[in-house]
Amino acid sequence: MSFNLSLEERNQLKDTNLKGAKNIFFGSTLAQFTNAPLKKTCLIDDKLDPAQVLQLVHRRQINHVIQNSFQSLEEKIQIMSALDKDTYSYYDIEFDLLIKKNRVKILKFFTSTEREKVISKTFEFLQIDPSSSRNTKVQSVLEEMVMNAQISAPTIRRSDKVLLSEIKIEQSDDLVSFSLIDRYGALNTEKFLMKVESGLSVGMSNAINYGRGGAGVGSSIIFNFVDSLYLGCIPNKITRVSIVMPYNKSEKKLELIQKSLNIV
Amino acid sequence: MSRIEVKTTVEGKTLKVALVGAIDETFSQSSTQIPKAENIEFNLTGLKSINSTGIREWIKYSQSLAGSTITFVNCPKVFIDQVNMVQGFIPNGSKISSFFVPYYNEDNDTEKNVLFTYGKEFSDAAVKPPTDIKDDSGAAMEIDIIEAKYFKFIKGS
Repeated sequence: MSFNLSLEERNQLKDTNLKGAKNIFFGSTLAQFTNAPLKKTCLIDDKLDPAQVLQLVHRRQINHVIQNSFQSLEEKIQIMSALDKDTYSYYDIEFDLLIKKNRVKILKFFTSTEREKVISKTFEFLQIDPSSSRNTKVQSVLEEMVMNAQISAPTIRRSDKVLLSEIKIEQSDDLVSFSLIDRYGALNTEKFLMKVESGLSVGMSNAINYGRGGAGVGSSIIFNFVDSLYLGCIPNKITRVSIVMPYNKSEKKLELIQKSLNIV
Repeated sequence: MSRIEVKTTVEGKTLKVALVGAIDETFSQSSTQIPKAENIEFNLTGLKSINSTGIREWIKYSQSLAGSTITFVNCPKVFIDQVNMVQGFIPNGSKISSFFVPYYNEDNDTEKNVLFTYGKEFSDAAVKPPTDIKDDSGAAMEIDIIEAKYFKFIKGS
């Protein structure tokens, strides 16, 4: 089993699913980005490892790097098409990260809500076993995302205000998507990517922050375990972090993930 | 509110500590319940998860154990994953005496955690995963880890 697609296959999917893209420049090879117009960019690539994906987004300033994986490239291009039409629609909770899904639920919570309750309600809805070794990564990612909304966001904003946060859960036969939306608008995508990069280059142990605030490795945990990661923030207004990842999959299958990373 | 329960008992010269629940940002409060001892055995059967702040709090705590002889038994996958990923996650010189390895049968969607014990399934230098694990229906199960990653903490494996 492999998720690899040839350049022709990727171009065909692009042409079929992206008619009249206006706001995002799409390309299937890095060379096409040398003289890319000054607008948002999306590279539709293949066989990139996580470090390469990170490098392209963080250092080459490509906004979206997408690859075929557990979530198909076709679905990812359709999501890109929706973002191309209206980037700000991403901040609407109605914006979907799974096209072919069976179930959706929105949970609301505050900084004071017990995290364990948010996590257990999510797993109850998903009807998957959090104690299964095949789902420990799903649980870890969910915990880090909720913790970011409950602890990191209000700490960074230095806000005593208790603002409502929401988690949108989408589920298909094989995939789950979590979107965490908070109204602190405190996410610094540059710092997020730097922390992931630091975890990959110097190792998690050296990347740990022993001072106040977060440990600095939650970003790495999220990036390392998911298929697709979307980071979006309107400063001081709203943050939406969304992920798509497979569930109930064996560790060997999870090794096949080809990551996608999106700065909305 | 802490999400971990700490249970301690003394057997001979060894302090036995069972950790049940999740290691998170509150672990520093819970760890104060663990007295100092020359020999400490951590039983981690009931450990469910470790989050990013839990990793930090655990490392801080484990650094305070310098001078004690530390053994870990019944380590679940969530613990072994951190040992492999985060250098210094367990104190230098400490020993993992037993740990769980997930096995899986895709057709029946069954899984089992098999306990690997020092001297049986692994030693200081090698691992010999059993190949005859079966689920309740008698169907053969496959080891469900990436061996090069999961057994990394066993030197020489």
